[in-house]
Amino acid sequence: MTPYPFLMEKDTPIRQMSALLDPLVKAVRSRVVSGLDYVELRADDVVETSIELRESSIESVTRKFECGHSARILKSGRWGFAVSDGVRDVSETITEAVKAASALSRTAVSDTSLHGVKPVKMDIPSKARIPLNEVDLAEKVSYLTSICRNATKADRRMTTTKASYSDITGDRVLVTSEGTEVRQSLSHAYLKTSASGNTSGRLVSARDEIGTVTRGWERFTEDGSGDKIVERLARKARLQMDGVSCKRGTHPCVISPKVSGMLAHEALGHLSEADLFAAGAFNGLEGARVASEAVTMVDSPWIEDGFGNITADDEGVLPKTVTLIDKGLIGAQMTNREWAARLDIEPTGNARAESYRVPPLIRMRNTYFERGDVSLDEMLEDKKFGYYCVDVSGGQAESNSSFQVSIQECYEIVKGELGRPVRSLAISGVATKSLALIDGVGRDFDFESSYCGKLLQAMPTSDGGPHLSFKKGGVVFGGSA
Amino acid sequence: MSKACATETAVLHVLDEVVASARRQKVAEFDAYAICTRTRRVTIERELVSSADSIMATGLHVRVCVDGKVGGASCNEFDRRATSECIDHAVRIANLMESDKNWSGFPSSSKKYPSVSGLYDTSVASLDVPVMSMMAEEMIDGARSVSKDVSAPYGAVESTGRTVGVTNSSGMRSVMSETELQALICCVAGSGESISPDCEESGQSRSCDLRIDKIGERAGWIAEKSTHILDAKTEECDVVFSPMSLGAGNDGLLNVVLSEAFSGQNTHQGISFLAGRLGEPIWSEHVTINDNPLLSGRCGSRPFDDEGIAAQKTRLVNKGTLVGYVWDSYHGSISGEGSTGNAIRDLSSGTVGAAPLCLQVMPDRGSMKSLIESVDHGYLVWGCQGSHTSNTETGGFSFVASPGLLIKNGEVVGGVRGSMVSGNVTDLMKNVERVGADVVDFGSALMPSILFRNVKITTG
Repeated sequence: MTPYPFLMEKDTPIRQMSALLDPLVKAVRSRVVSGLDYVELRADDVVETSIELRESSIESVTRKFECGHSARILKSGRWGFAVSDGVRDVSETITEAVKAASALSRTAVSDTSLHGVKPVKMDIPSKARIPLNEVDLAEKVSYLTSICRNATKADRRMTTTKASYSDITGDRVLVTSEGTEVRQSLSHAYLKTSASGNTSGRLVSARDEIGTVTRGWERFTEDGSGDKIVERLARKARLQMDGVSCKRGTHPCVISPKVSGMLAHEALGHLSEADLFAAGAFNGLEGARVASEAVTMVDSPWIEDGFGNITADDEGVLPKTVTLIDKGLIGAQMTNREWAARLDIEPTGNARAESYRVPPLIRMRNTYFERGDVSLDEMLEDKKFGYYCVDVSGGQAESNSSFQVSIQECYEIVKGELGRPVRSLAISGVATKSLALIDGVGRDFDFESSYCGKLLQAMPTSDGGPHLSFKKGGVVFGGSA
Repeated sequence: MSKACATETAVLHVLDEVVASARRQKVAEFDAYAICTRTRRVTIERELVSSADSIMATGLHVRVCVDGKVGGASCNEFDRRATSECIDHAVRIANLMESDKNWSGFPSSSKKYPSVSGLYDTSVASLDVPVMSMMAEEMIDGARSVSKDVSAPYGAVESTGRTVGVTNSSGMRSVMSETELQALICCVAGSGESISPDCEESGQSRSCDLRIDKIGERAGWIAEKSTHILDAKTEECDVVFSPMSLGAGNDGLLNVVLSEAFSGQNTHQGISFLAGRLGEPIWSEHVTINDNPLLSGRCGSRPFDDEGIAAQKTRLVNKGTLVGYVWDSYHGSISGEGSTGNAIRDLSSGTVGAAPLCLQVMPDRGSMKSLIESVDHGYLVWGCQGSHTSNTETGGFSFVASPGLLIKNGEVVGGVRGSMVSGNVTDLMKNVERVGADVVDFGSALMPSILFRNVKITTG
C-alpha cells in the first residue's frame, strides 16, 4: 500500500494533437507567408509535473501547463523570429517575425540560405511502456521519499537529502513552408538527488542524476533503479567524507566512461559544432591528427536509453551519426541546414530547440568515444602514482579547447592499484594537447545523462565512452575544493 | 509612467481573473504571481547582425491553501479558462497533500513599499530593431577598434519591458513594471596555438545609458591581451578578480556561491557553509556585503519580492562579521526570523525560496587598474570557466581562469592557459586585500573588482 494515500491523482490529459497542428498548417498555407524564403512554425502543448522533496517532506508539488507557438522566417536572406502564447493568431506571429527581419539594418547578414531537404511527414509516438502521466503522484512521491530516506540511513553522517523530479508529457509539432509536418509525443523525465553531510566540521555533498526522453516511468523503477541511486549517492558522499586532498599539478590518470563522456562533450564536441568551429581551436585543423589511431569519437542521434535521442531534429531533418574524430584525425562537423548550406555538406540533423520559445541551435545528441581494446587493469598497472576519476558533477569548455570538469568520485592510483579516495576536485586541460596524450582506450562503455547549456538553452544529451588513460601532462588536477 | 504599458495591462487583467476565479471556485486562501515580458533582441553572429527576435511571454503561478494543505499550479496563458483551470489544479493538488503544521498563511501587505526610482524607462521599452541593430554594430566596432586581429563570433543586444504582479487572499495586490537593456559580446583573437579563449563582456541597465562601444572595447582588449601566451606556475599568489568573474549571474564566483549561502532557507536546512555562524568574524574586515534592492536605477532593484512583501536593505556581512541572512515568509516564519522581503519564485518547480535580490559587495577605492598596479607578481582573472560547478553548500571551488592574465610589476603582460584556481570561498574572503570602487551592475549583484592574497594557482 502506498504510504501516501492522499496523493492519488493522475495527470490530466491535455488538448488533442490536431488542435495544436491545425492552426499551424492553416497559417503556413495562408497568404501571410507569400514572398518569404522559408517559414518554420513550432508549437508545444505540454504538462510539466515537478516534485521537490527534502528528507521525507514534500516541499512542493506543482503542475505547469504550457501552450505556445513560434515562427521563424527567412526573408531576403535574413532571419526573423517571434513567439506567442497559445496557438491562436499564428498568422500574427508570422507577421511579427517578418517585421523583425525586415527591420534589420542594411549591413546585417542578408545571404542566409538553407540546404535543401526532402520534406517529411511523420508521427513520433512516445515509446513509454508506463506513460509518465498515468502514474499516480503518490507513486512518484513514494519512490522519491524512499530514495531520500534510504540515502540518509546508509550513512548517519548524512544530514540532508534532497530530490528534485520533473517530467514533461504532451505534444510538440513542427510545420514548415516546405511541407514538413512532424508530430511528436513527449515523455521527458529527470531526477536529481543530492546528499549532504558533516564530518569533523567539514561539509560535504554528493549528487546523482538520471533522465529519459524515450521511456516512461519504467526508467525509474526497472532494475532496482532507486536502490542504485541510493548506493551511488551513499558511496559518493562517503568518499567526500573519508577522502584525502588531491595533489595539485599534472599526473598520469585514468578516467571512467562518465568522465570521458564529459571530455567528449565539453572539450571536443562543442568545437565540432559548425557554428563554433570557425572561431575555435579546430579551425584550420580539418583532417589533422590530434590523437592516436585508437581514438574515434562520434555524435549519434540514437543509442539505447540515450538522453539525447531524437528521431527528427527541430528543422525536420532526419538525423545522422557524425564522426567528429576519425581514428585520431579531426573529422566532420555537426550542422543545421543553414551551416550545411554554408559548408556545402549534407545537414546532420543537429538543429535542436529547448522549446518553441527559442530558435533551434546546433546541439549535440549522444556524444561518445568509441571502444578500444585495453582493460581497466592494464591501464592501471603501469602507473606508479596517478588518479582514477570516476564521476563528474559538471564541466565547461572554451572555444580554444580549454576544458574544466568537476570530479565528485576519485581515487589515488598507487603502484598500479587503486588507493585512497580523493575529495571533490576539478580537472582541466587543453583538449587539442590532451588528446595526443591518450595512451589507452578501454574496451568497456557507459554514458551519463545530463543537460547541456548553450546560449541559455538547456538540452538533454548523453555523453560517454570507454575508460581512457592519459600520460602525465594530459590532465591538470586543480586540488581539492 | 503615466499610461499603463501593454505588459502591465495584461498582468492587471490576469490578477483580476485570479481573484474572480478564486471567488467563483470558493477558494478562500490563495496567492498568485504573474509576469508578462516583451523582449526584442538582435543577435550577432560572425561579426554581423544575423537575426531579430520579438518575444512575448507570460507566466502565472498560483498557490492555494485548503485546510493547511498547500498546492500549486502554473500556466502561460492569461485567459479566463486557463486561469480557472490553474486554480482548479492547485486546489486538487492541495487536497491531495498533508496539512503543513508550519503553514502560517499567505503574507499580508502590512508594510508600505519603499520608493525605488528608475525602474522603468520608456526609451528602453520603445527601442526598435533598427536602433538595436546599430547598437550591436557599435559594439562590434568597439571590439575591432582594439585590433584587426579581434573577431566577435557571437553577441546580442536585448531590450526587455516586464511587468510583475502579486495578489493574494490577505489583501496583497502589487504591480511593478521595469525595463532592462542588455548587451553581450564575445571576442576572440589570434589563431592556432595562440588563439585566445572566449572573452565575454556584458553590460546591463534600466535605461539607455549603456556605453555600448566600451563593452566591445573591453572584450576586444582582453582577447588581444590573451594571445600573448606566457608560462604560469603552480603557486600561491596575489590575484585580482574582475567584477565579471565575481558578479556575473551564471558564472560569477561570488554571485553563484553567495546567493545560495546567504539564503535563510539553506542555512536553516544546514546546507550552507554560513549556517550557524551569525555574529562570527568570518572574513576579512575589508568585506561588507548588503542585499540592497532599493538603489535607484539598478537592475536588481525592486519595491517588493515575489510574494509581494516590501523589499528592504539587509546587511549580511559587516566588516568581515556575518550579521544576517535573507528570508522568505515561510522559512522566515519557521525560523522565527521573519521575512526580509527576499522570496524568489520558480515558476517551473513551483518552489518559493529565499535568495538575495541584489547582492551588493560594498566598494572601497580605486579602479581595477589600481589594484593591478599594486601587484608585483600575480594574475588577473577575467572569467571563471566552470565556476558554476562550485559547491554552494561547502563553498568549495575549482575553476580555470579563462581568460587569465599574468601581472608583472603592476602591469598585465600576457595571457596564461589552463591555470586553475581552487580553494574555498571562506578562505578566499579571509584573504581580501583590497576592494575596488569600479562597481558593475549584473542585476542580481553589484560587484567591484577585488584583490585577494594567497590564492592557489595550479598549472600543468
